[in-house]
Amino acid sequence: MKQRWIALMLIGLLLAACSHTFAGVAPNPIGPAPDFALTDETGQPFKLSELRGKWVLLAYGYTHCPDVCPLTLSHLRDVKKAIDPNGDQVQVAFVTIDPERDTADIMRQYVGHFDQQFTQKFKGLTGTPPEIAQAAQAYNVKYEKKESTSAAGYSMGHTAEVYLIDPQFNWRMTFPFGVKAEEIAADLQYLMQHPETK
Amino acid sequence: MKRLTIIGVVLMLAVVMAACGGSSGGGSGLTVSDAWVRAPAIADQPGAAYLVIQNNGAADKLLSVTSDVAQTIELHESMMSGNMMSMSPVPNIEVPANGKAELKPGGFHMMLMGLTRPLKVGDKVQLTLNFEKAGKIPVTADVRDQ
Repeated sequence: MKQRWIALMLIGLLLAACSHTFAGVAPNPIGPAPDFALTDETGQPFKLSELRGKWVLLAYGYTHCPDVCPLTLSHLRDVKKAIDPNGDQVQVAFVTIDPERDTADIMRQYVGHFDQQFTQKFKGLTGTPPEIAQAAQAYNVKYEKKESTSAAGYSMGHTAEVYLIDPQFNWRMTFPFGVKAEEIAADLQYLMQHPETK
Repeated sequence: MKRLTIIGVVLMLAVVMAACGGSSGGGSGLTVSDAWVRAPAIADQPGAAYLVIQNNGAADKLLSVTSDVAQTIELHESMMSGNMMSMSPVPNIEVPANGKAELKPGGFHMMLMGLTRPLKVGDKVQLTLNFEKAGKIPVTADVRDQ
């Protein structure tokens, strides 16, 4: 009797090891990642497609956001740390949806905080309001300025998803807000090991 | 016998609560635990603070928070509506009777503005919570990077 249970458990473990349940949602069908042209944290023009050849974790937000955005970026830092701490395979790109306040210099300081233990694996992207609107629309990112009574000034409402782009520059996955760093890391690791997965 | 069991349970609860390092307010049923501050990525931008308020008594309200590390502390709430996340100040945070209020990323939080000194991971920050009924409850928060 006991042996049967052990056998069943072993089969269960094997099945768990073979299949992977994704926390992210894959676009249907998977296709080329939309490209956009912005300005990077050094003040230079930058196209997202320059990251072709790497796995890219793309997020949108703004630096005056003390709650949600640093949570997302610390998750992405933890994903990078877990999977590719010293390598060049995984890159993070953070696009501001608050170009009014987020200059290239502010973006440099902001992404620099999360990039500390790596070397330039976090891009911080800004641009003119029309450029930002275009970069947001490319990934169906919505945002709006919200006047506030807060001493911190206005805030920005925004969708808070993370997008995963593969080295062939295909949009592979969307992670809704609230997905944990471990879950993103597990999905990314699985896709890196099984690149043929659809 | 029954009474002894109850006394035992109460004693165990007291030990557990003491071990959790929660701060309790004078005669109130409030216990505050897991207080932490996220240092801002850019030194002169706002930081955020989080904690859990357990209430074993009547309903109360967190009205305000003060600290020597920030000139102003506002209570805020991040909210998902549709699929858009937005944040607005709130006048207070309700702590339901025999329930809890959780201040956590993506929900209620304190916004620390005008930091008077740079915060580093591992630092301790003193916060004074001001409740409608329980009055002031001091709390020590750890600075974390998460």
